[in-house]
Amino acid sequence: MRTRPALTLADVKTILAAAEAEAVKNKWNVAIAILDDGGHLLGFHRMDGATPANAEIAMQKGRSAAVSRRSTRNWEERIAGGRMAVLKMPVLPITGGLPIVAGSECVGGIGVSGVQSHEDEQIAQAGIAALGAA
Amino acid sequence: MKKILLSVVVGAAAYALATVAYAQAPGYGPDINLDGAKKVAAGAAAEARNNKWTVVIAVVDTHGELVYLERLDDTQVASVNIALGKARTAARFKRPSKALQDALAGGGAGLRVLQLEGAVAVEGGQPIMMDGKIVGAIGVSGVTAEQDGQTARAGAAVVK
Repeated sequence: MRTRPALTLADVKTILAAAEAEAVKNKWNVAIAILDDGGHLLGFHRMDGATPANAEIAMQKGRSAAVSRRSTRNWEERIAGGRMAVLKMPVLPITGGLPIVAGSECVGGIGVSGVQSHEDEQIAQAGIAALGAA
Repeated sequence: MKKILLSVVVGAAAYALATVAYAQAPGYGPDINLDGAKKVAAGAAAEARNNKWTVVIAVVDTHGELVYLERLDDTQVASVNIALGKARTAARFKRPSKALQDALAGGGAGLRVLQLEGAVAVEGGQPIMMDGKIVGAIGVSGVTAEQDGQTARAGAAVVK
């Protein structure tokens, strides 16, 4: 047997608040989803002006990163490099989803959607950074 | 003849009632924003914590699309989708999900509820009203249906 870390709701709220602050700072309206390591929602915010489509995409990016233990940027780049088979994988290969890692363990994922995908990723990164600082 | 007349009268009365009830059904207002959703969820979370209940709280807009969600620590995983489903039911059917639960429990024609697309006929989904209009809905799952409903109503009551 072994023990493993897990995100608490307090952690989730820390990440969400920091990600939302990064978005507000840049006047971006986005949806932010945080999921556990099985890809199930722990917390979700859709800021005013973000669309229902953003809500769905944020969840899919976050789920992809959580269950594959890799950023969605990684999957997007694999396709850009010609590895079309990735399109058949159960991941959304669009930048803006990051795994959340504690030590050497993936404890979940965060997905952001609403602005350009590299900006979505910047927001996700800001959220995760707050967890390390907390 | 008398019988026919009576049934016509009764029928007309029932029709009038139905018409009145329909006219009084609240309409949809503007979609709840993230600020409002956070307030509603905080009210529900406080109710859950006071009772030491572990739940998922979902808040959706008038279309049933997700605006806010939080999962209290150690809540059963299945409740994520159940809470969302209850909230969607309340928003899209313009009524508490308990209304569908009651219709189903009544049996007979009420069993049709099982065939309604997207209907979660379990208590715990509640429309959120502001200025007499539906602006979204809250769905709660994690404990018993009655307790989920109590939590959802506590949240919905935060805004007016």
